[in-house]
Amino acid sequence: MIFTGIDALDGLLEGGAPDGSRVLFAIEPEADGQHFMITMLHTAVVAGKKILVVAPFTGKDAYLVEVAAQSRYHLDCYKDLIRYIDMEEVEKITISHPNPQDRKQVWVEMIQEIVNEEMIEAIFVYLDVLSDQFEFDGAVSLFNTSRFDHPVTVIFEYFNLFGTEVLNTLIEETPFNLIVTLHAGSGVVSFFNFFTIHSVSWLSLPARSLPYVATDGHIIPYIPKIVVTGPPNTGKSTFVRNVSEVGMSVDRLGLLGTPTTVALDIGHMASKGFDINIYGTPGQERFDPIIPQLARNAMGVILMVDVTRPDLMPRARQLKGIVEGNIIVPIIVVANKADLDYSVTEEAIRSELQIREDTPVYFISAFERKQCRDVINSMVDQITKFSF
Amino acid sequence: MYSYQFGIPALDEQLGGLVSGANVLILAPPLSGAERIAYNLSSPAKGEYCVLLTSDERAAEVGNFFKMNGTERRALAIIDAITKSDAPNILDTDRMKFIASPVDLTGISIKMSKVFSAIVDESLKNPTPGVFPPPIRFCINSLSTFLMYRNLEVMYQFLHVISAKLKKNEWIGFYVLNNESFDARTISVIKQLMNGVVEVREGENSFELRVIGLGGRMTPWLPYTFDPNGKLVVEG
Repeated sequence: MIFTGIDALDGLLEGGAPDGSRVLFAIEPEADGQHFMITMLHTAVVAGKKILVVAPFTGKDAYLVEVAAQSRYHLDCYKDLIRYIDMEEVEKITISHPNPQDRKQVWVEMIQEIVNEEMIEAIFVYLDVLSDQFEFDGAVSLFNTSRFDHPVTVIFEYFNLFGTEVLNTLIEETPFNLIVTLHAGSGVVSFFNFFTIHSVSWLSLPARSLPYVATDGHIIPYIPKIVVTGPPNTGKSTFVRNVSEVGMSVDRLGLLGTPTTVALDIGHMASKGFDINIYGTPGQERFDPIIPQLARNAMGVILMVDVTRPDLMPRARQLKGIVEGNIIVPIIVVANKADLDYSVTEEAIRSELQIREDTPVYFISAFERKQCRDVINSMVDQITKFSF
Repeated sequence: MYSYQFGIPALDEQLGGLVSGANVLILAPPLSGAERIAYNLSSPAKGEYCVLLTSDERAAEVGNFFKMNGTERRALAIIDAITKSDAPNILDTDRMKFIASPVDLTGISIKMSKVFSAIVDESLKNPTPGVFPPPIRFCINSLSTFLMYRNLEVMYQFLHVISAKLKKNEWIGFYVLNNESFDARTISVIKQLMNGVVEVREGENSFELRVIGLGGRMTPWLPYTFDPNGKLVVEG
């Protein structure tokens, strides 16, 4: 198995790419996606795998410098484990074999010989020039694993200028075990990146798009917004504070002398390889007009109820309606204050809130940090793995 | 809508400047100084920026031209696709990005995106904000080099993505293509993405240019020369 080296992605894939599989990273224009293959390459070589890198767009030295500059990985430390086919070698083949059919045969034999003799375990291929020369399927077929006498994982990077429809046609004709597409969300400029696990042969995963940041040479998937809402005094601020590594609340003293949130709670945490921002809404009705703004573009909703206050269930249902609006996002119900005496049952909560059968309901105490974090872990699974 | 000027009196008088979002092909024979024409047209006016993708001259040489002609340092960003092949250790700076070779369209796309983002970010922080998005003149000083390395279909699509982005943001683009190295089909395919063409030919005593398109107009053939700093001087 070869791990992608991106914790969140490996988590979703339940490991990495099995030996002998074929992986495609398809990068759309402007998406900062080259770190995906580079991170996987680095992870493989650190694990001691013997690697072949086919990089027809660059010289070996320039490649190593660029990888070190962009990703902070010093691949030159692994000279014995990595074999390169770079621009110079590719040009030699192209010039000496002007006939594409002959050239293709030379490639096939060369790859077969290198892989079998040097016991290469994974090949990392930059497809672009090869797909110019041999078309997409022809370029991929140069690395047909059936020609190798041991299992070899082949990872391709492809700059997809032609859009999703053309990519779908290409991969229909040339199947892969794992396809990850990298996209850029663009306004005036590209302002965020996201990846989609387009398909994976060894798992059943929904094709879901997840944002990521490429920073300091690392891919950090992130969930920009999970909203925590619920009636007043159900423990939302306590929950947000307890799951957060960094956070703040905008509170003031309420009429009863206890703090009440008057704008929002903000928290930041990491879970399952994702960076997550958590926004807690105020619970009082007078703040209802701002809740749709707070909930806009949320990727998940945590609805908190107080199990000692069944009378607040109608308000909880009302808030659920407000945050959901017209969007469909996963919901988790947190039945807080389960450490106190209470009479509300899960059935009653489901019935009062009119939630789906597969919506989780967790009985917790928001004072228990671990329980709060388990809720967030579950929310990450809801966002990334399950249909909703 | 922001209005760009050619910065060349003879052309501005005849054409009244360039509409924003324009993509202009500079179709020129070898030795006609086509890249110098492109640099002149790409030179940023006050408050504008220039992003130049070079596959023909090193960033240092390109930068020198703009420096000699008074372009502010922060107003120019260069993406250099040739230096790195000879000097692999060269590292990127804020305004200079280096690509392994003109083959690497993925790298070019990512670094272009970063350069555009940096300029837009910087313009937002500017204490005296100007037009938003900030006006940018984009230039590729040799499409010919790219077309030698990558196939026409890929380059068409790549340019399509770029030209669409420029149009969307009301930026303008200049692209130099050697008209003697490629067949009529190639030139015609590239022209499909353009709003105008600056054609260059060898005249009796000097090279001449004319501008076609850009609002359905066409200038007469205008002789041109360069001053010692490379500044374009067009008669007419």
